[in-house]
Amino acid sequence: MARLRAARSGCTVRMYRHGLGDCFLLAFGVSQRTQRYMLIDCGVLLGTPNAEARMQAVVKNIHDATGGHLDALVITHEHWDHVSGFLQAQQAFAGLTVDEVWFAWTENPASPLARELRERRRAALHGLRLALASAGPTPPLFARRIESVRAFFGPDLAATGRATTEDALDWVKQQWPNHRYCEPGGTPLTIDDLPEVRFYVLGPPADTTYLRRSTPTKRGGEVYLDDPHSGQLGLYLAALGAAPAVRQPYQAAERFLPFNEAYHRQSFDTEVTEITDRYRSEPWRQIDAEWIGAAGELALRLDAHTNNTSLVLAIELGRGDKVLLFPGDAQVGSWLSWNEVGWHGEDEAITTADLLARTVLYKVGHHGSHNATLREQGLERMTNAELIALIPVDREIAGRMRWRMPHEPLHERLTQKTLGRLVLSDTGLPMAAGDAVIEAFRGQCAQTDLFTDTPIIPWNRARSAPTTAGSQRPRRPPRR
Amino acid sequence: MRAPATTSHSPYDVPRPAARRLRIYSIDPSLAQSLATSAIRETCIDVPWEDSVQGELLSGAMDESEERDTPLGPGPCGEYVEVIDVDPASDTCYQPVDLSDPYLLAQDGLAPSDGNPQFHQQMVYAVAMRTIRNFEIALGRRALWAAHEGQYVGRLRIYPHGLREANAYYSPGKKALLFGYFQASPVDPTEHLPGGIVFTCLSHDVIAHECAHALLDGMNCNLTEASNPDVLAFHEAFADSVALFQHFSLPDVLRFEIARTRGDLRADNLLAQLAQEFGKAIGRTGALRSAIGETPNPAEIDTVNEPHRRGAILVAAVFDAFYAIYQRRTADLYRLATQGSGVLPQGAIHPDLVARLANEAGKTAQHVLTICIRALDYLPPVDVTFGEFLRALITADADVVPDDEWGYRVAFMEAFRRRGIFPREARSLSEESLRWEGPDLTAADAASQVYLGRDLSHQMRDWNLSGNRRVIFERLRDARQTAQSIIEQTRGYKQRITRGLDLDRFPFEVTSVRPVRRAGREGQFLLDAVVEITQQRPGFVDATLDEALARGGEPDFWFRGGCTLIIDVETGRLRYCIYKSINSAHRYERQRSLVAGQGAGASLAATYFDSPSGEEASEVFAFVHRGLGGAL
Repeated sequence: MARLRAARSGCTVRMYRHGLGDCFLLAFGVSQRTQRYMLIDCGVLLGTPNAEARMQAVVKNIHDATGGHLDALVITHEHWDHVSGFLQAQQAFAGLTVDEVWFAWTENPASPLARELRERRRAALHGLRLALASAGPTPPLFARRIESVRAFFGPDLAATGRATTEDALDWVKQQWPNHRYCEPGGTPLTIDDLPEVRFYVLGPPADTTYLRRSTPTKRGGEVYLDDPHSGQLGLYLAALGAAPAVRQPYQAAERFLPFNEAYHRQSFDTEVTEITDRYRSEPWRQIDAEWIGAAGELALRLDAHTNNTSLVLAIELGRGDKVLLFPGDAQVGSWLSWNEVGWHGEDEAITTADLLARTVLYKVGHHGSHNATLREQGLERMTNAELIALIPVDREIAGRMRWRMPHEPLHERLTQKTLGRLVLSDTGLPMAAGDAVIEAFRGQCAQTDLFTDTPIIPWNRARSAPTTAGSQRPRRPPRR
Repeated sequence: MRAPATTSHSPYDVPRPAARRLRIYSIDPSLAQSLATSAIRETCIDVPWEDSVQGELLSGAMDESEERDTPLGPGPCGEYVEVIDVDPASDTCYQPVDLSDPYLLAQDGLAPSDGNPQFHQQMVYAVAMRTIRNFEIALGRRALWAAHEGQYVGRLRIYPHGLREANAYYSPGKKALLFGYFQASPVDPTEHLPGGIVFTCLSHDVIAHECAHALLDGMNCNLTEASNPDVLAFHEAFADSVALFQHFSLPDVLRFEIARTRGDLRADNLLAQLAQEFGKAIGRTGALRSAIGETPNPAEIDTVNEPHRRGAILVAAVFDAFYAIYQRRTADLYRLATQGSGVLPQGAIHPDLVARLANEAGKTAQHVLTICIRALDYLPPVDVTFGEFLRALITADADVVPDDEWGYRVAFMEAFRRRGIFPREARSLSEESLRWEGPDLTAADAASQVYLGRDLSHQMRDWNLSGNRRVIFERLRDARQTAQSIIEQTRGYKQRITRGLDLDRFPFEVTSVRPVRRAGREGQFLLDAVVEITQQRPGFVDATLDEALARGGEPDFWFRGGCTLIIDVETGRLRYCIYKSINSAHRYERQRSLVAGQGAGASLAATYFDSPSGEEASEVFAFVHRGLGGAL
């Protein structure tokens, strides 16, 4: 099988077309013969038909395309559609060697904050499972909301309350023991023999207030992933039996009650009173399970929170050269935090604005959902006229889940900004239909049923001046 | 509200009491925790007297002519509401309070206490009844709850401890208010005990807000269908306005705040803020929402789509109008108090001035709220926008108070304009062009209107607007059916009532017939009939108006149109025809893009879910409210 190759100093991005999920293989050309390989995520949404066969085909292709060796494996975040492949095609993966696995700092077992965040996530997941369990035989309204999140945490959630994605990550950590936990800012990362190519870590934000922001609005305090014991949902989780809400020793009752014991009657099922009679008299007005409904919102918050822990990489092909942006599924909070991140190279300072302005390839976050691509602070700052966008999405599956992916206005805007050089993994390369720009783009790319390849040639190799819509190549800040 | 019976059933020949006095937290329990506000932490309000079972039996008052089927029982369970204090999350229920207990009667109910569930029941009952009464006074007729599958629903259910989260909502599906309790997680631990329990059912504002949702739904159940960004926002704004202006009917708080702010209601004050305690407990720096403080920005209306925030724009506009009127009404008092300089001396103002200012503020608040509530009868039957609310408001007010001495309507128009709220279709922003248009009928058309009007007036002739609610419900239902069959059976009728409707292609439904009072030229009260006729046609996310019609299968949404006819019952003439065309491609496109998510709010739920449909639609407020992490 043919190896995946990139021109010298360039990069070829292979997007797999296996369904609604991320799997990207990047080849970097050290020379015409020597290549370095990086894999970013490998997973597909829960409920995809023939998921195992699909993932095995993908991993076999990775094997063939790389010769069985990855220089770096990047795990952006712990969602099933990003890591399922490590379970579904485990044997094939076992045959690969990996020099280094890159995780977000939120996975670092040595970081107390990361540990705390994981604990909260676990408690929330546990709460969701209990909520589903106590919902009874008829699925109430909120159940659909939990369903959508369940799909991201793997098949075990309903049964055990444990995210199967944790298993996938554990396996990765065990299989390839060389780990790197990436924090935003600092010195850009590199891989051996590729000093020109620099990897800038933009997120996840080190500031937890950003981690909690899931929507572009400023209001709506994030409360759902608070401390499970004293937070707003403490009482809720306590009622589910998940986390005993205990603030003071005297409250250490078996069950946390809002009033002094003296006011509580026995369970109202056993004692028939005038009030319970009236309550039961009109069954359509009973509210036995309404209180569990908060779980739906908890599920959405948990999902957003996990998305915000995405490892965000901007890959620069050379000093002042083209940039490829892989934001994982980072949501608004993460995007906003990038403004506060800066990097210090040998003789320069790099800002996020600078990187965004040079971005020529954007992996669209979260399969094109509306809140994983920031408008003014994000997409509109990618002003380079050569911009290409890749959306890993399967509209049929998304439609079946009744998800709006990709978000219609975002899709439109991306088409405008890329002049049509927008690749959706389900339909593949865009149709030219007489459009010269797309025609030329199609000429550069390659496509099979399994993947699309998009080569990126750096400016300093292309020997033509870069064309930027707004500013020209940004000037470097003066040396201090 | 029914006038209290004047005949006495007491051996002492004392008339039946008009009101029951009940103690409540004046705003919420947080006022008691600060020395500055502890003086006004609790207050005593009058709620309409509902007889206890025992009292009725003893006095022999339950004669048939009264049709009094709902005396006040333990719960409290009265004519309008029933408080059912079950707490499924705790697997328990709490002993219902009996407000007819002599000891409680003698001391205005239980003393405020956050640790006693019976007081919680008393407080939700008291505030809900107060809200209902204020609403009825403004409306001029009795309030009905939305029907359940066409059946009469006599009592709104109230569950004071139904949820364990920072939330409370009105459930249109269950005709119930659900209140939650949760542990506080304030930013500033000195503001509220971290981890302490906050009960949403102890907040005057939260209760009034949710109760107003229920009242509005009872008036017009099409307002819960989000066919444009204004609809749900309007629901929220209306509920907030009711809660806000109800502050002004609490005399203690009103006088206290007038004295403290020296009459300047633009200054930071309790009256203009909503849900103090709740806001702080969920980690805000202040109240959940405030009607003051933001400079009007007419561009905001084009960018803000989330229902509560969009609603806040309307609330701010209404509050601005209130403030302008208040200023006008008190200008003479300030002149008197300042020898014409208009500048108050430093320090506290005179108690007499406080009393007069409070009087004016209370009166103005009542007027403004009444104007807003009366406007509800003049709205189009579906797809309401803020601009149309302004037109309804101006028209309704002009009908009742033809002579606008204090410039109320100008104040509203100006305040709304400054927030960018105006009807897109109006030719100018004068009062004349804002008023709804007449029917523009030819002589032949006019004749048919007269027939419809006469037939309806026959129905309405001996209506007692303050009678038994079940009887009113049944009469209204009969009137609807009569109107429906009149239009269907009268030859040539369908062709004539065509504004907004397409009677050839789609079936129609008379969704409402109700009476409205208005002032005549000589100040006498006249009766109008409001008739709402609606139609619906299928809509698909990926199809235009006409394409959608050809397509079969379950539609993505229903596109509705119709008209509200306001008919003079005496002459049968059509006075206004307020319509939303069922064939409007523009409106269809607006709704289609909203459903497709283009104008959707920025919540994650918008990615994963369609706009609420089917079953979720019956819990629209639960989701609207939860989507914000509990913003009520």
